Amino acid sequence: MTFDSSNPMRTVLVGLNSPGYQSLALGYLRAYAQADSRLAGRVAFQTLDLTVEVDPWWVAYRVLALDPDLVAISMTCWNARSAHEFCRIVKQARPQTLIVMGGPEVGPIAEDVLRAHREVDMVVRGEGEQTFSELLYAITRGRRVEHVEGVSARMVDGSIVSAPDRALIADLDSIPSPYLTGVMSPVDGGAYIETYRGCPHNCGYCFEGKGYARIRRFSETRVAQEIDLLASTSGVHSFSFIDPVFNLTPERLRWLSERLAPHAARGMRLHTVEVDIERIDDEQAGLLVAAGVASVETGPQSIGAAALAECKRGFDKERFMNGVAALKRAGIVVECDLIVGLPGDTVEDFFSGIEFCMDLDPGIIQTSTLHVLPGTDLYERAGELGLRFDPEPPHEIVSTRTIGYNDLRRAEVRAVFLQRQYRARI
Amino acid sequence: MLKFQTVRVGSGGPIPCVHCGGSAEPVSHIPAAEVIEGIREAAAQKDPTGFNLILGGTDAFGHQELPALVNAAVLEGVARLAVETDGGALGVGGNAGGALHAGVRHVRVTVIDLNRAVSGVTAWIEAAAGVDAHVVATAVIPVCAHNVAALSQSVAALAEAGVAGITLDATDATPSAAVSAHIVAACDTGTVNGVWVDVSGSEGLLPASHLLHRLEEGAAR
Repeated sequence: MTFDSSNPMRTVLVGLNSPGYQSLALGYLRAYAQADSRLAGRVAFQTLDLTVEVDPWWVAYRVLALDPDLVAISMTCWNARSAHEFCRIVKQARPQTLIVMGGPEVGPIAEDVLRAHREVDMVVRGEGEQTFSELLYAITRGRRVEHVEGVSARMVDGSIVSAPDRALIADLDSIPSPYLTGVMSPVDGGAYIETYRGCPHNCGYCFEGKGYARIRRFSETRVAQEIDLLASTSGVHSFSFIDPVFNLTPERLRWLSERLAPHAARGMRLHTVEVDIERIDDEQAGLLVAAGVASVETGPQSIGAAALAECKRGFDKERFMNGVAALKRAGIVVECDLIVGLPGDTVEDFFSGIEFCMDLDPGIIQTSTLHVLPGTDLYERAGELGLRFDPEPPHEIVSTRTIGYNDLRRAEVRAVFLQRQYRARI
Repeated sequence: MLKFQTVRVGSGGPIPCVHCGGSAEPVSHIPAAEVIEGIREAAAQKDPTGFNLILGGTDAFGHQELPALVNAAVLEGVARLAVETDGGALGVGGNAGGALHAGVRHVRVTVIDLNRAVSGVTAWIEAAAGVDAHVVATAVIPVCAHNVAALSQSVAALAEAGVAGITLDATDATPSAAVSAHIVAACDTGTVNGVWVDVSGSEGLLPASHLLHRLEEGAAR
């Protein structure tokens, strides 16, 4: 089937987000595709930014009401179960609708997803903007989708075929800004800005560093325009930066701080930003305050030597402590994150980590359970490391060589208690 | 982990179990000035996490000068302020809301009567729901031969009321396989209900599989 201006392909992009947030990924996809002149008049876009709490049957209801030819979903470990459920319903109700998935939950295991979920027709692997546009182009012209780089697809005979990977987009500014193009309207507290892709670290449990092997940046001009737009939007008093390390370099931090300071002086605030705390000193803390940062999120994730080594993660205790102290002097709340279930960690290591963080009195201590995410080093080395985890998303750790199933559950419960006890202060 | 310093506001109270016998020690309260002096001394010995204080020794709500004591702790820069109670006073006359407003963030409920404890915790959690404050309720269950078989039910009831952590004080429990089994079951009941249960005076009562539930040396609730 082909599509043209008299019969545009009705394309519904579905985000199942955390409450209050919008899907920046879908914004990028749509902004890029709408700027592709080859698709003009042939594709009609509609975005449904819903929350992950919405019942999948009601998501399907909203989607089916739009009579879509194609449904595209941004998949994370958190929304995958709901997304698969609503897609199954959509496929049953309207079998001719094409279901396309993308995102970190499905990209690294595209063929597995297609085998396990018969309602899924195609998976976009890796960075999605260009691949999704090329896929839409192929579909609207009746061309073979299995030839589109970065796509895995189910064939008519049931076989699954993957085209070669697509190279990363060299110039991120070639992706139109969803905000500057009007594809997304910023909402208070729910808008994100991304200033670069990739991560200087390569932590074994995280997709960020592995998915984008090198750091690529949006231009300062582009970022400045987005900041100014969000900060000047009526009713927007706060927004977030999605960057894995806000203080990527001293120069970048200084530049961001100077761009954000005039808005911060008028009361605009940033949601919690992630920082490399071991590089924070009084000067950087001051730049964060000037930028409107009230709280930061950081590790250490673990202080156990074995876990740090298995996860390829550095940890300098003194520098970490100095970083927390500098932020506290500047009046910034620090959220220290710890993960239970990392390979090599014992229960004692985990609770030593909590004790270490408590002694720093950072403000917030947040513990979470390891999720062995597709595409990460731990996912690929799970057998070697003795990690047993739920194959279904969100891929929670079941047991490790050093902590059994029951003690993991006990550690989770005790950690939550300790967090609550710590947080209950005047 | 978090260390709380206990400043006694008095002593005495009902016996934990009427079936175990013994006589109740009469309740007496320490004069406010003396308690406040104790608060000042405690404030000088801060933990890295700040000045964490329990007003205890007896049900703190029985002390007529409790508001002044709480105020003194606040003026001394207390970070986390806990009060000890059997729960009864929390459900009476706006006590829960008043304590919260004054700066109390933790209540430690000694379970003498389960219904009273549950009612108190419920009142505390409801009071906190109306304000922007993080609070915690913990419970201490003195374990004896007469309540050991019902420990799991007690833990479940307290969990439903909103308790975050429970200490089973097994100091006076006579060790046996049956007692051990009930304590293990209570720990597991807590875990599956998202409430941490630890055990004090547990020498020999916890099997190797449950040693994580042993209360740390020197820890206080």
